Amino acid sequence: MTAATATRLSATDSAPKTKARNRQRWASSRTYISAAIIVLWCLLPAYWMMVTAFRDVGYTFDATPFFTHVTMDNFVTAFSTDLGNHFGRALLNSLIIGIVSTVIALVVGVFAAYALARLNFRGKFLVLGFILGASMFPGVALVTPLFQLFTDLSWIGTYQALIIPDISFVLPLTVYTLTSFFREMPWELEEAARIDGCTQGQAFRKVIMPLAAPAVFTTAILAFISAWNEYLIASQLSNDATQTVTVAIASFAGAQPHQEPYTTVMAAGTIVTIPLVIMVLVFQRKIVAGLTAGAVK
Amino acid sequence: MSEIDADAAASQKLRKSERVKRKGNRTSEDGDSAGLGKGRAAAFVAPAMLLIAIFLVFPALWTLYLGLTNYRLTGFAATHPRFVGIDNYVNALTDSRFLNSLGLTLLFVLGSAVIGQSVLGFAIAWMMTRVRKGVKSVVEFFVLLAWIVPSSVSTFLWLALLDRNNGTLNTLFGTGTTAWLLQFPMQSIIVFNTWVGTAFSMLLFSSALGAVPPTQLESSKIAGAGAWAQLRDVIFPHIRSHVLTNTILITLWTFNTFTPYLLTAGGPDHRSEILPVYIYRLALSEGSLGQGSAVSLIMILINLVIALVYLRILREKKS
Repeated sequence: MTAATATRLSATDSAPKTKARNRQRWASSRTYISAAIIVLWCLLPAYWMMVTAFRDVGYTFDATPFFTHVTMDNFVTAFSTDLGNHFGRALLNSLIIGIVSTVIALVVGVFAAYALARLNFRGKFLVLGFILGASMFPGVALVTPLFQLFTDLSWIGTYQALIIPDISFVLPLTVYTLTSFFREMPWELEEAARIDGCTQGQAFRKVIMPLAAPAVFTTAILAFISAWNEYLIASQLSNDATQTVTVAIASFAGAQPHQEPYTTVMAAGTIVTIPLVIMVLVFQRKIVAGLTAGAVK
Repeated sequence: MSEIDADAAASQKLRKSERVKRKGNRTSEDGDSAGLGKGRAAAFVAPAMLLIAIFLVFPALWTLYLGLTNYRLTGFAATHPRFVGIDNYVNALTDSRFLNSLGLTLLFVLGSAVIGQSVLGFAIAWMMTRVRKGVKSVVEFFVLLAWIVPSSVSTFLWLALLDRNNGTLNTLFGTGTTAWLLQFPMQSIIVFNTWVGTAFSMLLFSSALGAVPPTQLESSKIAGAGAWAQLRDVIFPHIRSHVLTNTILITLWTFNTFTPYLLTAGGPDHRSEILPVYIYRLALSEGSLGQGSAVSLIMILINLVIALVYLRILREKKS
């Protein structure tokens, strides 16, 4: 009698349990399926770029979704200057412009942020508001005045005409992010350092900077990406000698006048994207933290 | 980053209490904790302020003047712009092309930022709370990748995807020779911008969801709350300020983005001519720099209004 009840109980008990487990399993596999769809959705264009970049030009419009007719020719064509393209030069330009503007923006930004975080002065919040307001200006609105300014200075076609706007575009965010970072560091740090006999300069160099290095580095990555990707200003204020990669890609000339050189552009696009892919792979966590830091606090 | 007001208020409060605490033993009335001194602090801030002032703020203000002239890209008016008063502004505000552009911009911001990026970003972030860590970082990686690919590369990828003849989409779905960019220009740039920009919303919501206390989720589950009720009553109150920050930032970015120009160039027949594209075509393709500057200034003003509304909401919420 007791045994019978027990079996009956367990029988009625286990049915909903399996059902619940099944439902849970279905819910979790549904989540993973969705995750796969998201990855596909984000990846599809980039994947297609790679497939086309490595495909023989005669099979440009072949719809096979795998790597077929693999060749490196497109990469060679991308760097060739026969058709008036200067991709190699543009790559070097972008590298120079990206590095120089990142370094300057960071040096200038670190000092400004340190002073803003460590010192209360009248109008400080006006300064911060000014910086933030400036970060919201639409780039396209600034092209005309910058064009006029740089024409007057005869800077069109020089590196500084591209470097300086890159700096002023990333500076507001750099200063803002670093200020919120410095503000979180305890004030006692410098005090302790000075008690130990450091000068103010030494306290900053030897105590604050090493601690701030990760934040500075994260900001530098974001600044470099922003400079590397800048298109609008560069498309108007550069010439053949100072053209950046983003502009070079948009204006790639092919062998046929009215035919987009798809495979060559895809190869060039792959080359431009690779440094960014590596950066994200290596610094993903830092980038994620840096992007959300300012907004979350 | 746009929570400056909240930040400022909070740190002011903090500093005040610290000042009170320290008053006895050190001279920190002016809040100079690092012993920088006013002069040096000014010297530290000056280079950044100068760069921003000369190359960002001054050009923005300069559009006010340029908008009052007939400055052109080429010809006589390029070297000798003439003062024309507020003609450009009147023209802009009464021009049906401007009003059309404004309407399209509104649609673009609503569709791709407020709805597209926010909803998709939240959905992904929400989903990622239930998967293994490895899966989460893989998904994050690819979403992030879509965001940081240079715009001239990503638009080219989308051109190939949406191409009329032999485009990837037409091949995959057998939709023949549908000219997506010509038949559905607005839809195309909205989907494109959602694809590009979802990363920020996702990351922001991810970190916001991480801060929701799991015990509250558990107890609401035990109390029998469905997914929707849980979302509304437990999660939303925790992430409300993030939703606000996110909405305002992506609204501003989307409002200002020029990238769709590389996909549709505003066409066909101005059907995807959002404001930045309108300004670009007006000023640089058609050469009317003066008229373009007038519209630029209007656009900057709209930006400022959005930012002010945001700061206002934030302040009200805090007090």
